[in-house]
Amino acid sequence: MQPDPSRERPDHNIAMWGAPGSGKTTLLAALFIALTKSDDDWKIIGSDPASSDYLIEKTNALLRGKLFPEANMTMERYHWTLLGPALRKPGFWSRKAKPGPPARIGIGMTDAPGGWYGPAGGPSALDGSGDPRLQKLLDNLERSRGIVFLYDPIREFTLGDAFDHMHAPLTRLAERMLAAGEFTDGKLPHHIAVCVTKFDDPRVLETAEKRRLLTVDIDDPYRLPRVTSEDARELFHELCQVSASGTADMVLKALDQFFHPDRIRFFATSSIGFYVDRRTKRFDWDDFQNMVPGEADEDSRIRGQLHPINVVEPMLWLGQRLAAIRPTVVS
Amino acid sequence: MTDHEIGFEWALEGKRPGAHDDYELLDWSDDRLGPEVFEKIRSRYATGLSADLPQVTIAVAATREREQVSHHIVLAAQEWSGHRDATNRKIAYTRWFYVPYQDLAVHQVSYEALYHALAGLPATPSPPLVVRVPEFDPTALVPGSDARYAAALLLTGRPVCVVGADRVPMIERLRFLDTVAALLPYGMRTRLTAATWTSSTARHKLRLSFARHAPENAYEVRWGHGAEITWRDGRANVCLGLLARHDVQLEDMLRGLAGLTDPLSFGPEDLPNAARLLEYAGSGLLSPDATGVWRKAKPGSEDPRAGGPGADTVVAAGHRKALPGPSAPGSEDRDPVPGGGGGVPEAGAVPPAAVTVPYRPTAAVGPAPGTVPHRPTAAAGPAPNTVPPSMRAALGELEQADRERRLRPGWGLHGKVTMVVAFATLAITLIGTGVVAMLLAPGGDPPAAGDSAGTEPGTVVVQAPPGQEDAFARNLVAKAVQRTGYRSEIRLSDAPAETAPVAEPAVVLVEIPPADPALSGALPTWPVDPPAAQGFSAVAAIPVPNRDVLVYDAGLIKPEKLTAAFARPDKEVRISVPDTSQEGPSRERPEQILRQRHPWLHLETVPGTDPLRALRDKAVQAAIVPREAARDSGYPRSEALAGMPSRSLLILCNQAGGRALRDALDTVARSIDPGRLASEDFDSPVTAAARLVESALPSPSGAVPHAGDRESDWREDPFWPALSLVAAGSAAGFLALLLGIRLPTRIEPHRHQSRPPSAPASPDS
Repeated sequence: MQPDPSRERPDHNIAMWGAPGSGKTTLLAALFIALTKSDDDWKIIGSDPASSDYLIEKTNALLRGKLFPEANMTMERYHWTLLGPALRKPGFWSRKAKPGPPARIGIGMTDAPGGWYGPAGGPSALDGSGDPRLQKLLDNLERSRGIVFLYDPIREFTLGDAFDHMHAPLTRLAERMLAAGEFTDGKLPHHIAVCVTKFDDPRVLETAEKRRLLTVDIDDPYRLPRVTSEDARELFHELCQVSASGTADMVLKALDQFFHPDRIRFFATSSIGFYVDRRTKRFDWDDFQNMVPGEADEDSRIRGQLHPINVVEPMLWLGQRLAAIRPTVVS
Repeated sequence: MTDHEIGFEWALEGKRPGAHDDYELLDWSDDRLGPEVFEKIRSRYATGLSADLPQVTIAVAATREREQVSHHIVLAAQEWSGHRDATNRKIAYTRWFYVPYQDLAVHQVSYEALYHALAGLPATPSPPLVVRVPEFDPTALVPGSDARYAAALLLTGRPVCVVGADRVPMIERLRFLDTVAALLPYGMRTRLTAATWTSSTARHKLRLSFARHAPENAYEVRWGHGAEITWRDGRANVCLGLLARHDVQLEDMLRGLAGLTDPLSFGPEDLPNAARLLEYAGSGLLSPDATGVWRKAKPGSEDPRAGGPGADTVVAAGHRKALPGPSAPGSEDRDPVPGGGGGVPEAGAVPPAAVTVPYRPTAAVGPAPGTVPHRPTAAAGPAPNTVPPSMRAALGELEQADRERRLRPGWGLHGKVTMVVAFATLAITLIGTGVVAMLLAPGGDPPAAGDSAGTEPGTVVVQAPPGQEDAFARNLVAKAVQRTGYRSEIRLSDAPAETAPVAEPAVVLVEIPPADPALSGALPTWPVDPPAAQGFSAVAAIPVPNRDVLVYDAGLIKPEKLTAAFARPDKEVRISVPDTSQEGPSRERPEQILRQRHPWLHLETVPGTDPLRALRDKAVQAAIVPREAARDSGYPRSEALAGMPSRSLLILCNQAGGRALRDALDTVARSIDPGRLASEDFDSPVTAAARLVESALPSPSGAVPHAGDRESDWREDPFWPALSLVAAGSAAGFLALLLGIRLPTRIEPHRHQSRPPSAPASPDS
């Protein structure tokens, strides 16, 4: 069969942004599992065979193989459709409301290697005129209106280069948007979901616990600790204090400078979640690590079941916000 | 099988064990090509990371040194390193190898052999950077239908993706890439990018790839099967037909294609040439040693990679003589050779030989008259296997390099000044001559064609019927007359035999009454009463190309089956014929003729305004359509109609014409192959006539007819030649002005150009 030019295109483009190893690919790989486990009636469906394949393969790898995905070597694009609960149409003349078509958000997700955001190529290379990868990266950011920004507190504690992976692309993006007249209210038009990743790491969890930011959803049978979106910003700020380079607080300031407050939301995220014993089915503060680091020549593995935390929420928030700005046309 | 030494340069992409960072270049050969060269190539041709390693990517690159472009084949082998990064993820190594194309072209090395030779090297090879690679034997390949489809589809210029090969071992996929490449002229490897695996969710620029799902813009070929080619993909259908010919031995074709090492692109300017080479390969039309510009190394031969002005001359001449084609400015795939493919060939714009003759190897092409072939010296360019250090910073896009090359002539200061003076002198001379000629020209309007009652001495009158379909015969005779040293003057007449001049040399074309169509194989009959009394006698007969041709859908019917349907009844074959009743009584009735001659044929009449309708709807397998409709339809033509009765014109020549003219006309008429009249070659009567005359009557040295033509033109009307001289002079003056303006700015930067810091001193700088 030859290419079909009418293949469906996404309604909204969302870009993943984060340093190498921050968990971009793992978060996407856990998306299907997270949606399936959530109580919301949202589903994720591939809009083309390749994107469906990705969902199937990565879900199987995480569930059956208990393996983390390999690092990306080039920019990958996935076209998915988020299908939500049916919208109810108001009844005519106060009659009973009727079920309408399901909420439907088409998203085009791009996942570029974290190194592309880094300073390795030098700021001058980020003008897009040199390395075609950077050109592609900036084109993609310019085209996207939603960004999932991943902040890896463990990497920041070790290397402290989150700001390095943010400021150059952000500055170039702002330059492009200004030139395109898209800086209307003095801010970038993008919505950005800032995800503090690796929430399942003991150091991150303990930081949240010390700041009394943890809550438990009473409807959650496993009683998994969480940080609400309102408190996630404070957790982010707290984690910035332990940056190896001391530049992490500049990430927060840069976010405030370039993005409208209404268009920023913070999430404390874990793609694999906490370990829960099958027998007790309860979170155990003495035994919650779900990742087993590999030995010398072994892969890191996932110990138990996956319980993704705040994996769906950033996507849905972005999808719903972008859909509210430019509704999806349902044919 | 003989092994050959191939030089290479390398780079290693990966991560250091335990690293937190992303993939980067870890090490490189640091010879002539610097890290920036490898950085560009690795960012351009990233395919993603397969879980099933090793995988191989074939890329191409061009390096530019001064004004010379050198092609490289880049082989990237991706494999697991055995190390892990800081997050305990496996690290893949991608080993990039740069191999000069001309090294491969000389020995016609395959990708598989190259991979085997390079993959066995350590991760960071040490000098000498040379591997031994066996010579390529294309005849050992057995192309399946999938490979043929892939090759044919590649010749449309769009990428091709092979699907359904997930479980096929990498080395088998690499062999498939070799097989597809072997079905194309070897020179297309300078632009053929390919990979044994690509991520279906990553965008890439590879022309031929394997993936689980084909990208949107790519043709999909299913492993072991083939592809669906629609009627819109006319060129793919044609090329597929060429690859599946039964009249050509596969081994001969593969051997012929492997020898065509001239760089060819997949751009619109080169694809027609590639298809033509495909047609000629193995058919005996190509000389056995036809390799094009880059030939097998011979003692004292020019270094093709070094190029130099001498190489340019050879390249340009080779292309102009051999394969003229339209040029597409701004095309991504522009051929790097400047001046080779400029302009669409038109009759009169280029010599007839340039338009129509089959491919000729460069060796067979002598220098154009009036030009002096450049002989490269050691100073003109680097010797083989030595690339000057400035190449280190000179990886450029081929397009950029070409553009630069076109803009910047490679002359020195002396040469530039000489050129300015020469152009200025030429301009003054031409303008001066033109002005003088215009002043001396008689006043009044130039005489209209056919206005004069008499003819100039040395002119042969060609008296012919005025019909549009007779244009081929008229032009054929006129060209043949010119070739014998006369000037031709065509006079159109409804009754040419009656109004033919008697006293002056004349050729008359008269229609031969058609044979009875009901009699199969009936011979044409001579006119009952030729104007013998006027001293005319018959010389030969010229068949007139039919106005209609037969096209077919290659996906529905094979050409052999279609041809057979004209010989014996076949209930499955359906053919549409246009309704020509509205086009006047002079229009042929193909339906009527076919029904008389082949009453068993299933004919379906379609409106004359859309003769391809039934074929498009797949209601029929073939259609008889006018030539103009067939030309752009994309459907291949069948020669099954060659047996149809067609009109013929009889050539009559009077005694004043002389024996030489009669012989020439007879030779030209005999050179017409009636079986080829349906082909595209005869769509343009002027071009077809010129080509036939050129092939039947090679142009003698000293070109008497041309000189005669010019003299008579001058005598007849000196105004237009004079104006042409003035225009040519103005153009030369403008060129001189341009060169003069550019002179200082062109010299200054070269004088102070800084060398890349890491580049060693060039011995010739």
